Amino acid sequence: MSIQRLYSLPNCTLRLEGTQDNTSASPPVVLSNLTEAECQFPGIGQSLTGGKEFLASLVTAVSRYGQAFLSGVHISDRQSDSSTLVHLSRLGENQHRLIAQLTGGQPIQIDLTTVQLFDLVEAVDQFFADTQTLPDLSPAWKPVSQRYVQATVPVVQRAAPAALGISGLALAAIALFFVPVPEIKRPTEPASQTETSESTEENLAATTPEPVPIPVEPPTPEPDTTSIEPSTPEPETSVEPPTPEPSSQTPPTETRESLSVASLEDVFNSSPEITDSTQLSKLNWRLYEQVDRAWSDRSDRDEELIYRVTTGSDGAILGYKPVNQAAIDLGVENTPLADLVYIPTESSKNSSEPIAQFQVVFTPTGVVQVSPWWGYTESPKVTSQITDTSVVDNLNQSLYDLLDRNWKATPTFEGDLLYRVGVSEDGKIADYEPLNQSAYSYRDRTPLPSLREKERSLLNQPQAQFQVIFTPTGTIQVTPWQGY
Amino acid sequence: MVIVKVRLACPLAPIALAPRPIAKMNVTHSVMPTNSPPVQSNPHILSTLPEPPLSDSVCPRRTRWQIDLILLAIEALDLGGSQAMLAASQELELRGIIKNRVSLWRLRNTNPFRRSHTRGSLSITEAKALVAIACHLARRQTVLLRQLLSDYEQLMRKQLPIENHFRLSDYTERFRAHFRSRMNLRRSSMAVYREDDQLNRLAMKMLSQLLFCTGTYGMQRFWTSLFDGEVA
Repeated sequence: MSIQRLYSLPNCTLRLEGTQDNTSASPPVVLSNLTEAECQFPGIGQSLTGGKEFLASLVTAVSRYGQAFLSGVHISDRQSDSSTLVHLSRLGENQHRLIAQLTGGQPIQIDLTTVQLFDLVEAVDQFFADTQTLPDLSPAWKPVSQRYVQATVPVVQRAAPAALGISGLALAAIALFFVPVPEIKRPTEPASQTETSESTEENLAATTPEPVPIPVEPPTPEPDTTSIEPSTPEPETSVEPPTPEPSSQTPPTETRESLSVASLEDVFNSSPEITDSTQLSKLNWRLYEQVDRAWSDRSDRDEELIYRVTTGSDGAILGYKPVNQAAIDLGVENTPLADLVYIPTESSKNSSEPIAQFQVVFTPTGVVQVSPWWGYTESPKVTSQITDTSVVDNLNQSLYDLLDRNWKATPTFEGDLLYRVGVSEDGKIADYEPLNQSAYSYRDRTPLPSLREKERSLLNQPQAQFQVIFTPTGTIQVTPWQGY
Repeated sequence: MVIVKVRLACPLAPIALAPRPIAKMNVTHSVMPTNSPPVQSNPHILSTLPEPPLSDSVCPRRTRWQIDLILLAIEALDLGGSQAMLAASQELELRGIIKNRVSLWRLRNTNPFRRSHTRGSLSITEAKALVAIACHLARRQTVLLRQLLSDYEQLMRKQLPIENHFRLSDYTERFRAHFRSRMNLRRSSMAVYREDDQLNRLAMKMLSQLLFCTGTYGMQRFWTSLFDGEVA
């Protein structure tokens, strides 16, 4: 005795055919052995046919996709445990693609609008609700586990600190513009007024997008008595294997250069480079923080964007350059980096200061990756320049007081948050760095980001290093890095 | 002999909110589903929503934000929305949880992005009650929701702006107004919604979410989706 069940909606019809188990002959008639399942899409003129395995895969995939559509949390098949005969994925705001791999044939691909998708979900739901058809298939209401979504947090949540960061940086940039540069020994030459205004124009010119390969200008000689570390000019092509060996003599450069695209190349090539791994790792974190905050538009991209970024010894971004084709196509201005470039007040002389180069990658999944362009020559170490026990002792106490006073939020994290904190002689937080994953994730729930001094020059002054632990129970532990 | 049993459930007809069996394990000849006995303190409708496997019985931030947002979409769709919510609370016998306008307002203010966000927490039972009300009201609008979304798809296909459709632009305009008057746009994560375009997209997203809430298991699916990525 053949039984047929039909779940019919305007854009989707699910037809099931099967027989009843012999054991229960009395009504109600229960379809318990499926012989054929057919899913038709009248509006599109396509249909899918299969057996029990197809139906099970269809209803699981559809129900799960319906849930993902509501929450925005999509997990890949790799992470789910169901068979993959039927697969649904999102094409656009209102487009969904169903791919079915039926036995002995090419995969069938059907594109559905949201309303059509709803009808499919509803047909499946009506089948689920029908207790007289295949009672063993029932919906499983299970939220997606946290561990599948770490990298795919909705943009709204991720963008949270970004906007704040941008406006903060903009304000800082404006403020910095009017602050006179602290007097640093500059044995070369004083920049004349006219030169300064000229280079300001250059800065403006530098912001126009010009994503073409940049020719290297022949450097002009300049007596440089402050050279810290000599380096060779790099060959022009940017993506080639690193040669971190500094050698011979400092190639001189024009002093007025700031960050116009062409002159950036000079900076890349001529300034002494920071090779100390410890310093690089600090700058690496600084750069990551800045870029991660500034990157607001993490909408889906097909390709990753790779940049070569130059920073000063204080972590300020001096310039950047697209490396791969996708980044070049995007244009120089349309990156989060554009907002971050430090506009020097006294434009000229940063070319004689040591610089560090990093590779910054914006991945399609919305993750920023920062790594030193030439890699680390050795593993970074933490060193305190301030080692006097009584001074460290005092700083330890004052750091604790400072954090305790400023940590007002109730802890809402699990597990200890572990940080390295660098404190300057006068007790200011010059630098910090998360040391474990939760410290990294929840850094904004600690007072550290806001307490760290805005004055970047502190980074290179003598510091005492401490280990700081924020615990979920609300206590703070501060210990000197090297112990007592 | 062939028995043909056709279920012509037309989605255009409002679907009755009869308690549905949540699992099909006990297919018996009895009329009443026996697998979900009503809990004493809970109205029956809430027992059809499974307990999320959370470590505590308080709703995560995203859950509170999503619930408030779907209620806001209902208000934008239906002029008498907020009154209807109280009426629905009565119909669904949820007066024990949502007594009056003030308690409804208090629960919605647990949304962290509200201007008047209170630090109060939203219990699972309270969240269930709000979801039940939202889905109940969404089902009443099934016809309208389908119509609007089909029209929107057509607009998209022809690359026409929403403003060309009176009913849609009416909805999005009200959605924007409600959103801006209640949410704290100074919050950095809300900054994107200062632009009309972004808010319109959110409004349309909520409209399709409402359609999914009208389905046979729409309420269970919406409820479960609120905890996606929030459970261990």
